[in-house]
Amino acid sequence: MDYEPSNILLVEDEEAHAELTRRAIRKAGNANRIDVLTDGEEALDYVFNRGKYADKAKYPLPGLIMLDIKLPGIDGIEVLKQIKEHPVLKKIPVIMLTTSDREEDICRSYVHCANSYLTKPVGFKEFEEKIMQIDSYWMLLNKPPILSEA
Amino acid sequence: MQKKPTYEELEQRVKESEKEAIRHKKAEEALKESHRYTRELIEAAPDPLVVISPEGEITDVNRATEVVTGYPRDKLIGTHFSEYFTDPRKARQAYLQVLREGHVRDYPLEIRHRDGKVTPVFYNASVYHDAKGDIAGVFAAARDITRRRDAEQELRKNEKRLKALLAEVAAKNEELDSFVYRVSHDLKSPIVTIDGFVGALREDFGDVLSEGGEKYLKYISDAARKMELLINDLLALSRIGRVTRKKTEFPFARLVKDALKALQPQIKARGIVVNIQEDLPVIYGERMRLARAVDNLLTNAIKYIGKENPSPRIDVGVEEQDGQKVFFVRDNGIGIEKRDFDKIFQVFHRLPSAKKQVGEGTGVGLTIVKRIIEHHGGKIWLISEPGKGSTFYFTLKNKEA
Repeated sequence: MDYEPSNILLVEDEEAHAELTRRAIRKAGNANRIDVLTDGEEALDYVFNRGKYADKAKYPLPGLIMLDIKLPGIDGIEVLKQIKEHPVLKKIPVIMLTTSDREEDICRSYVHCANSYLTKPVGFKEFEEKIMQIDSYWMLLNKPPILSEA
Repeated sequence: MQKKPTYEELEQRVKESEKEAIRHKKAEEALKESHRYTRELIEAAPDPLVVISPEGEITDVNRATEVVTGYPRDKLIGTHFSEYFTDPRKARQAYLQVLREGHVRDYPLEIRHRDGKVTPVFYNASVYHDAKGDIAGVFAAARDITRRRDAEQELRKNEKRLKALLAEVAAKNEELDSFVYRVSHDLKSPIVTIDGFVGALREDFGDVLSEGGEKYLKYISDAARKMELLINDLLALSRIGRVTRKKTEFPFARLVKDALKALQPQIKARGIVVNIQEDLPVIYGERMRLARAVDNLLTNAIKYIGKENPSPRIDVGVEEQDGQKVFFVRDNGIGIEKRDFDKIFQVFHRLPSAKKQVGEGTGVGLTIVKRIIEHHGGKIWLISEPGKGSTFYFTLKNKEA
């Protein structure tokens, strides 16, 4: 079954940041489904349809993943790595969204094929604008991959 | 036939021969005295002195030699000189070198006392010749270098200790830097939240907020902004030296012009005349870091140019000082008291006058500049006078160095 995914997976352990992000996406007029997960292990279960996310109809593959790096347990880089090593999942655009501007984090993200690396700006307006730009670029301008499931 | 001398003549001769005898005796005495003097000198010498025959046999020694070897003179004379060293072979080599080259200087050897005590010495010796010009033997002197060697050992030990200490300090510094880095990052996240929700509150509940409520929100978001500035500066500070970028060569003028472009609004607002010296040299270093240093210096110059300055002016250039290229950023602003010259480079240090003049500021800017310059092997200093302005000088290492 081939399909063009349109939902967003947001992996963010900071509830407040998730709320601000969701708010901005909604403000941009995007009414698509946004699922928020708070740790790396859950995120992997979600995209691999394991455990409580086993139901593929209920948890379809997202069209965009926004991934924080600092997560409890399995960190964002490891989640990214496992996604990008998978023949189907690797097509999903993954955006690293973090407060870290460490050269090491940036480098490791791209080594593991992140599609984009963005830092969370301080300042309500700046934060909102950046999220809205992400949304309009990746969900409107960008042509999403066609995911075919085995 | 010989004429018989007269009585007077005889008397004269006797007198002369008596005089001659006295002269002879006096000369003999003088010679003896001279011998005695020479001998005393030799005996008084603190260094062991030895006379050695061409075959290597000791023919004469002084008192110091008896002391250092523990043998009396009569036991030493007639023996082979090399027996009294810990390494006789090495001693004989030194001796051969004297015979070959005429002398040897500061040849390190060790004399062994009869009870086993070892004295490190520098061995100095020269050949001496007889009347015919043949080598008659060798004069040798040994200088006790125990104290010198001990001092050297102590010095080496201290050096080692110092090195270990420096390494420890460097490690601690690095630890501290990475701690500052981690903490700064962790602090950033709550600020995103604070400022984010102040904004969300304003947008979603602005119509039900009273004027007082809005004022409080402003206090909160101003504080968040200030904290952000501080954190960014701390992050920058901790990154210098920890994260090293590739060093390249680039024109200093470019750096200055780029920085000035970004500062144009403030420069215009204050009507500052900026003069950049022509023919600025090419410099070598981590471009982004040096750009930051120059930017901070220029930002400071603008900030502290003085509100009532009738002709604000900033000069950027380079001059020779003691054969070294010294870069400078000069302003005719409010200036700094001499007693504060060191303080302004300390982290978080803000002068009361600075606070009064410009208010906001993190107190990290000049610390960053200093660290960047020092990271590049350079030095930074200033001359300044309150009311007349400041000149910040800095040096950079050349590419070869």
